Amino acid sequence: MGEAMIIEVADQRGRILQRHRLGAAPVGIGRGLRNAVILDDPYADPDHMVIESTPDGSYHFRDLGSVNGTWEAHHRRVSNGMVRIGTELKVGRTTLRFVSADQPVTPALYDPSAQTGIVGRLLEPRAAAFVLVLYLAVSAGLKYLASPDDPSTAELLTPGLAGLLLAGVWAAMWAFTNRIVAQRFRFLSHWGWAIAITTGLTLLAIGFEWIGFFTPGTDLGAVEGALSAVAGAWLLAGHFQLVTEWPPRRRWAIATGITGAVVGLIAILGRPGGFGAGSVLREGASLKPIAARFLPASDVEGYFARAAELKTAVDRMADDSTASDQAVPGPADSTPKR
Amino acid sequence: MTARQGLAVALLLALAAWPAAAQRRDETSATVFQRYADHTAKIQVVESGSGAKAELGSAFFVSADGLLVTNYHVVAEAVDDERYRVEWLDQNGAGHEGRVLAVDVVRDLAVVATDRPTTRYFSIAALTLPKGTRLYSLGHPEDLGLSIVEGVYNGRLEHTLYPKIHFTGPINPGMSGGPALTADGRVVGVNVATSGNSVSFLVPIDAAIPVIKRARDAEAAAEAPDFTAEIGKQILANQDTYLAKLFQGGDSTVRIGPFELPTQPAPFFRCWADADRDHEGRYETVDHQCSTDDYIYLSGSQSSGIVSLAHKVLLSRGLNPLRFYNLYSNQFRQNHTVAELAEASDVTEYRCRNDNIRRQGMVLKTRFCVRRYTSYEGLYDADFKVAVLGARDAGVVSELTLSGVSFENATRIARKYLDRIRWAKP
Repeated sequence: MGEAMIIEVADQRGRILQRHRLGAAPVGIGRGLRNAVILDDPYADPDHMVIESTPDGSYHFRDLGSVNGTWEAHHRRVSNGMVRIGTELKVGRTTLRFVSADQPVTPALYDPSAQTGIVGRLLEPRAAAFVLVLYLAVSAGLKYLASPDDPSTAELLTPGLAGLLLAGVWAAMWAFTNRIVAQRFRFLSHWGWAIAITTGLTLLAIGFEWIGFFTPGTDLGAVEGALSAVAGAWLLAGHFQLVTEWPPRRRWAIATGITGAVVGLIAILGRPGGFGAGSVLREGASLKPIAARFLPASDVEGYFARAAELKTAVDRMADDSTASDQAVPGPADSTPKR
Repeated sequence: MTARQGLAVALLLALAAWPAAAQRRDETSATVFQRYADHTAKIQVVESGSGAKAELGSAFFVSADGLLVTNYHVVAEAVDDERYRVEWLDQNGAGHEGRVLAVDVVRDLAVVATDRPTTRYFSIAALTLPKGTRLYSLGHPEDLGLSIVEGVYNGRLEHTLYPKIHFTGPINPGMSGGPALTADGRVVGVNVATSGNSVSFLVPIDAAIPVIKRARDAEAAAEAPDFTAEIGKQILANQDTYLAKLFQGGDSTVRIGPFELPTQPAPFFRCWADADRDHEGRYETVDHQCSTDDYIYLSGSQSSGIVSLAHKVLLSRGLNPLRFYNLYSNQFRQNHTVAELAEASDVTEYRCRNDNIRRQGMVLKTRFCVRRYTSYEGLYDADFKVAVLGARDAGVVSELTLSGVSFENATRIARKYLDRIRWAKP
C-alpha cells in the first residue's frame, strides 16, 4: 500500500496553483468543471485524463485521448502509466507533480505587518514616507534657525538629504540582510525606522539644550548619553523585528548587548588621559532668548566661593602628574629659539 | 645758479663726505670688534647622552672670576634637568663646562660660572643714553661665528610690562645673550629678541646687576640652587606686582552697542577694535581685544605672564531671536583669546565651573576654567568667559585669559572684570 499522495498543480513558471489529495479513485483531471482536479489551461482537454487505483493500492493514469496529450519527463508522450511519489506529468502547459503527504513543510514566516507597534506600522509605505518627510522638515527648520542669512531651498534641504542618504545606506544593508535571511526586501521600512530614530535623537539633543540652559552648572551629559544609548538599542531592536522572528525579549537583549559593547568601547577610547584641556574649553553651552527674570542664577559671592573647588581639583591633578612624570622622560627640544 | 646746478653741487658735496663718514664708522666697528670680541663667549646647551646641541646662544664676561651673563631662554633647557648640560666655548672654540648660578626668568637673564679668571670682562653699571646713540651688538647669529652688528639705541619701550630697549639693528637667533655696547665699551643691554626688519630688543643692563649679586650669593652658599622653586617664586612675585596694576582706579570701560565692557586694564596693554556690519544687514559684530605684548619664556613649550581680553558684541538687525541666539551660541562656543600657551606635560587639564551669575539686574552665563602648572606650585592659567543673557537682539561674549597667575589673583581679576560688564546707560 503506497503512502498518501498529493497532486501539485503548477503553471508554466513553476508556481503552484493548487494541491489535491489523492484519495478515492478515480480522479478526473481536465478543464471540465465535473473533474476533481480542474485545470485552468486552454491547452488541456475538458476531460484530459483520469487517475485510477488498482487492487494492490497503487495508482495509474490514463490519457482520455486528449488533443495535446500527456507527457512524462524527458518529453515522452504517454497514454498511461503508473503514478508514484516523484512522478511528474505535463498536461497542456500545466505540470502535475506527485509528492508525499508526509513531506515536511517550512515553519510559518513571521509577518511584522500583523504586529502592532511603530515598526509594524512602518511597513505601510505611507507611514515610512511620512517619517522621511518629517525628518526633512525638522532638518530644514534647524538649518533655517542656524543660518542668520536667508538660506536657499537647496541649502535648507542639504543636511536633511545628507541624513537621508546616510540612513539609506544603513537601511540598504539591513534590507539586503533581510532578503538573504528571510527572502524579503523591506528597504522602505528599514529606512523609515532609521530616520525615525535619527529624528528622535535630533529632538532629544534640542531638548537637552533647553534643559541645560535652565540648569546651568549641572552636567547632564551622562543622562543624555544614556538616553542616546537607549535610542541606539531601540534602533537595532527595530531592525531585528523586521528581519528576524525573534520574540521581543530576545530582540531587546541582543540589541542592548551590542549597544552596551559599543558604548563601552567609546568610553574606553575616550577616557581621560589625553590632553583634554582643549576639549573641556571647547565644550559648548547653548544660549536661548529668555528674559533675564526667568533665569536661574547665583550671586557673585556664591559663584566664586564655589569656584575655589577648582583649585583643589587641579592641585590634586598636578600632584598626580608630577608623581608620574618622574618616570616618563619627555622628548628633547632641539630647535634654537629666537 | 639754477636750481639744477644747486642740486648737483649738493650731491657732489654729499658724495665727497660719504666715503669719509663710512670709513670712520667701519673703523669704529672694527675697533669695537677687536677690543671686545674676547669679552664674549658662545654658549650651548648639550644633551648629555648624545652630546648633541639643543640650544645655542651668546654670552659675555662680567667679572674677573669669569662670570658670564646670558639670557635665561638660552640655558633654560639645562636648568633643573640633568639630561642637559651647559657648555661655553672660548675664542678658540674649545668647550668648557659652565654652571648656571642664578636666573631671572621674568627679565630673561642668567648668570653662568666658568670657573676661569679673566681680565677681559665688561664692568657692569646702569647708564642712560640719548636716543640715536650708535650701539654695537656682538653674538653668534645662526652659529655663523662671532659677528658684530651695528645699530641705533632707540630708547626704552613705552607700554611694556618689563623694561626693554628698542635697538634698531638686525639681531638674529644665536645672538641672544650677547652684549650690545657703546663705541667706548659700556654694555647697554643684553640681546634678547627681534620682531624682524631690524626691530630688536635688549634687556637693559641694570636688570643684570641683582642677578649677578644673587649668583655670588649662590656661589658663596656652595649649594646647588633649586631653580624650579626659584623660578616659581619669581613668577609668583612678578604676577603679584603687575596684576595689582590691572583695573586700578578709573573706570576703564568701553561702550559697544548696549554694553559697557572692560578695556585697557593697564597702560601696558594694547587694544584693537574691528567692526563688521556686512552680514546681509541681518546682524553686526564688533570685536574688541586687549593684550599684553610681553611674555615670560619658561621653556620651549611654555610661556607665562600673558593677559588678554576679548569681546565679541553681536547686534541683531531684526533677526528672529531664535536664529540670533543660534549665532550667539556659536560665538560662545568659540574661544576668542590666545591659543595654547603650554604643552600637555606643562599643565594639568582645565577644570571649569559653569553657572549663571545675576548682578545688578543682569544675568551672565559664565565659565571659569583653571589649570595648574605641573612644575610650579601656586601658578595657574585661568580662562573666564561670560555671555550676557536676556536681550533678544544683543549679546556679547567676553573672555579673559590669564597665564601664570595665583588662583587668588585669577579670581580677583575675574571679579574686577565682571564688575566692568554692564548695560550702558541710555
